[in-house]
Amino acid sequence: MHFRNFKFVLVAIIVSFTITGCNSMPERVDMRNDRVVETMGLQYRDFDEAAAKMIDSLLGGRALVHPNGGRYILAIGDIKNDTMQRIDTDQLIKKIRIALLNSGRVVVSTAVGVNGAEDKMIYMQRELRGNSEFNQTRVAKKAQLQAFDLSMSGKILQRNVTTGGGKTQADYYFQLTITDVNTGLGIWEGEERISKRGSSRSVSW
Amino acid sequence: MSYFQALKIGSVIAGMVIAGCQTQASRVVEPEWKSRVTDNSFNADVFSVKRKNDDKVGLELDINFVSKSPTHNKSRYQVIWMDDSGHTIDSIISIWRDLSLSAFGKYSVSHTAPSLRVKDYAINLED
Repeated sequence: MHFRNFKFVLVAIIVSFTITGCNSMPERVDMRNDRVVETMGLQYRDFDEAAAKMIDSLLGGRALVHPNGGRYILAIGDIKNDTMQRIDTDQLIKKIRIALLNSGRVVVSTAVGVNGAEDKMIYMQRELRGNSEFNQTRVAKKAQLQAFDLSMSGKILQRNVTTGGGKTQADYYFQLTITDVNTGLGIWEGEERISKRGSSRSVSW
Repeated sequence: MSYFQALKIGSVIAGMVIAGCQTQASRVVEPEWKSRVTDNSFNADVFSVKRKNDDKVGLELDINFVSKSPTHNKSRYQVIWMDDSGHTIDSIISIWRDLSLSAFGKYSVSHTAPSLRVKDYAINLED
């Protein structure tokens, strides 16, 4: 009798472990309505928020309204990551690029970049000139690439401050500048700050 | 007229007066914006929305919020942008944004549409 009771308890324990295991299954995050616990490090919501505020400023201002009604050509310059985290600055810049492109005010050049062309295929296609294996009517002609009017540069900074009581504050600064490359003058600048405060034992890198 | 009849009539009149007062006090959102503002917030109301159309920049909104709370409180809002046929134009600027409101305070924000195609908008507000 005691042995039967033991077996019952054992089965119940196994079943409860199985159910608990099922509960910890990964779940898809609802990106439009996610209210998860804040982390000390940068997460996707921080990039979304910073990008949205930068875009607000860019769209609300007149800096990118072309006087002749056309579109400016923008090149992406150096965007530095000066945080303690290993992040890809495209997490910020890509959102801004998409919004600017959709706004109808700007097109982005992928033929130039700080480390060469962003899209290397532009130049690879030109290497096919004179190659008899390729129909030359589809190969890009000379002097078709467009030089850029504007360049975007900036950086993401992090500063950690100990606030006492075993707490640390991490301040993140998102700074961007758009420069008229013809004159060398900055025509728009934006800065957004996101601050997070938490236990000093929290990791922010 | 008996005492109970007089009491009945008196309570009906008092009820109508109270109901009338309540209707006037809670009508913060102007009727023309009602179809565009979804207000699920206990802490704040959309007080007014001013729109401006600029040929080169597009639709611009000035949204004014007012706190209904006697203490400092938080709400959040979202602006959805739509083209002339009512289809949503997806944009990163349609994210939910936090509102930090002081007691019974007012707060104004300005937003510019993400594209010249935008002709209309909807505002969602919740706590």
